[in-house]
Amino acid sequence: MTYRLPMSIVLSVATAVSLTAQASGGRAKRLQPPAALPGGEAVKAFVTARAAKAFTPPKTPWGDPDISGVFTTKDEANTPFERPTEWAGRRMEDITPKEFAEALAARQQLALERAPFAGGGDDLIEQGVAIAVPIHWFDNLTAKNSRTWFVIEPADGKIPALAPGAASQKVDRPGFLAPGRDSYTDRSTTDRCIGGTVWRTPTLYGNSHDIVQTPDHVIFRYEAQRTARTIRLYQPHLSPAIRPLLGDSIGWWEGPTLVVETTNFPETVDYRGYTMKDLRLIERITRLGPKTVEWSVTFDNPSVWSKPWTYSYPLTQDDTQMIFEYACHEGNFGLANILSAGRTAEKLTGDSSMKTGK
Amino acid sequence: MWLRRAGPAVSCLTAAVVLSVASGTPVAGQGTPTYKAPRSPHKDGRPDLNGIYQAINTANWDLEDHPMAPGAFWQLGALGGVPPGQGVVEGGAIPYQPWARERKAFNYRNRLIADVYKTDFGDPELKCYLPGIPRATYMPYPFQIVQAGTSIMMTYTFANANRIVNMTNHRGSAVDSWMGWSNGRWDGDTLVVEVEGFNDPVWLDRAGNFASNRLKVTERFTRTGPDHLRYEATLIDPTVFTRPWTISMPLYRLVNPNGQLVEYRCIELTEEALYGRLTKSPKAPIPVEMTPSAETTPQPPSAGR
Repeated sequence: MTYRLPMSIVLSVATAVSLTAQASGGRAKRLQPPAALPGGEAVKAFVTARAAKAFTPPKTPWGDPDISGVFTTKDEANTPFERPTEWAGRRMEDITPKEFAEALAARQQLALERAPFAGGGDDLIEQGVAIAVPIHWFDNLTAKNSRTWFVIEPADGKIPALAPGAASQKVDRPGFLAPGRDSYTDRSTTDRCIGGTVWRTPTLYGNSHDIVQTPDHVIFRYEAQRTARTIRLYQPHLSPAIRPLLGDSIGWWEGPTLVVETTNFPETVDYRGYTMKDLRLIERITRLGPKTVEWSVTFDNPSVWSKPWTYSYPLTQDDTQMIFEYACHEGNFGLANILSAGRTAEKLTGDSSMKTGK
Repeated sequence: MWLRRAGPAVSCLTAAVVLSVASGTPVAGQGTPTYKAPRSPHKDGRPDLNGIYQAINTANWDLEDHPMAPGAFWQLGALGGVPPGQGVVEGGAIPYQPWARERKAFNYRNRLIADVYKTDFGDPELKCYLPGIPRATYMPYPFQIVQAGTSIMMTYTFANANRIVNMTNHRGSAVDSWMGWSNGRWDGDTLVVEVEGFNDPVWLDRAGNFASNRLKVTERFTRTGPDHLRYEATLIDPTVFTRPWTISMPLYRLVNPNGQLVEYRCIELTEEALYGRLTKSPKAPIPVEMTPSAETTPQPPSAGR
């Protein structure tokens, strides 16, 4: 229901600043967290059903739930984002262990078959064009998924219909393997090393994360695209005039769960073909067991979707999966080479665009 | 052998620091050494270093004493100028080996070259590359220390740089990197961080001061008051310097209640400089100051190691 309210009202409630108050832990609270946000009930039911039995979540010395550690999502790669067609009409809990085991074997087989075309998409596979990728992309093709699919809300496991005015939010930006080579702006944000969003899905590489906590901040770091998010606890948002690529994240604790609200996305951040400038992203991070922390992500963007929706997957604690430096822009020979090849093609054929066919 | 020669210098330096602390000599603007910092909320008995800090000096322009100087482009007037400033190098000058002094001058002459293929040329800051350590600490932007018991995170405004300081589970760097690999420990109330495993070269400022991938940095972070840290970094690099040398400076806490890091994701600002010459329609001809020269990079006598 909340999402039906005009965005401005929702935001002003969410960012209501109370007088600075000292919490019991000694931290300065300058924000009264909003009572109920989209995705809350669905996530609560989901994590409650999956929390380890007889598990007492650890606490930090100042009494917050302890969600810190080094994590990986490498074993969740290959999981379908939405509910697969063959399971139409069924809930996650209806899928039998046997069905899931068979699906997992099929996913692993498919990943192996597609490995030579990594990142290339169906076009390249049809054309039989393999592309050169780093060898570590093949490290974990046989990921042992723990989930049937990722979308947990709505219950049908599908991203909901677009909002009536969504067309006005559409953006047309070059994707991976886009043909244009006239300028760096013809290339995808991935080619330009300015990709990176606060929401993610597990993929072939770059699956490491770490979380560090203090009473006032939670730093949530991803290896991919060198993303270090500073989540300020019980603090108001930045002015809407400041719009960082990662948005502006504030957070608070609700029982065992860290709730993070991120707004202030710039117009240039897009997802599934639409700008996310009006997005309010609500994440909930909950420890389910000694080695598992659940990361649940709710999209609340009434400009694009008819109702909020949520996906969720686990982070697995593993000290051997520490983050290495992701220096993509530093020596981005790929982008320079693409443009340079474009100039050569132009000279030879009068056409600079990239061909991916035989 | 080099290290053996370096040994006494390190000891003298340490002794000098210990003496000045023991004798209660206050460091200008940093409170007194007797300051007892509040303890970490992690209840491990360590001082609480959490906070957002910034260096207020001109070290990023030049670590050594330097006068005012014009910028590369006269059109920018005072906007592009080099502000004068006092150096932060203990003893005044960086102890370069002769070849390295030439390389420093080469770096400065070619500092404006932004060419992906010419990795030896140009200031990484111009290209929005990761700034490395210790430079990240004294760039003219705030950075944040987030302290847990087993690891300490440092996040920087510039280029989304960040690093984790491993307080337990120490291990060597697996690969060379821009920010290096940081292992930390406590020396009383001082956080000591050993950083190595850097890429080659490491730029230290806009004046072309530099080190090689054999650089080892020992940093010391000490709270000297409610809103100040003392930062010291000792640099050892047998390829570039004749002995270890140290920089030191106060770091100031952002005390405004809303003070926070705002990301400076500068890549897009550098794309025309880096790739413009490779596009179909460059925005403008490349200024002569930014055109790669045919100069060869000065190499250490043992080059080809």
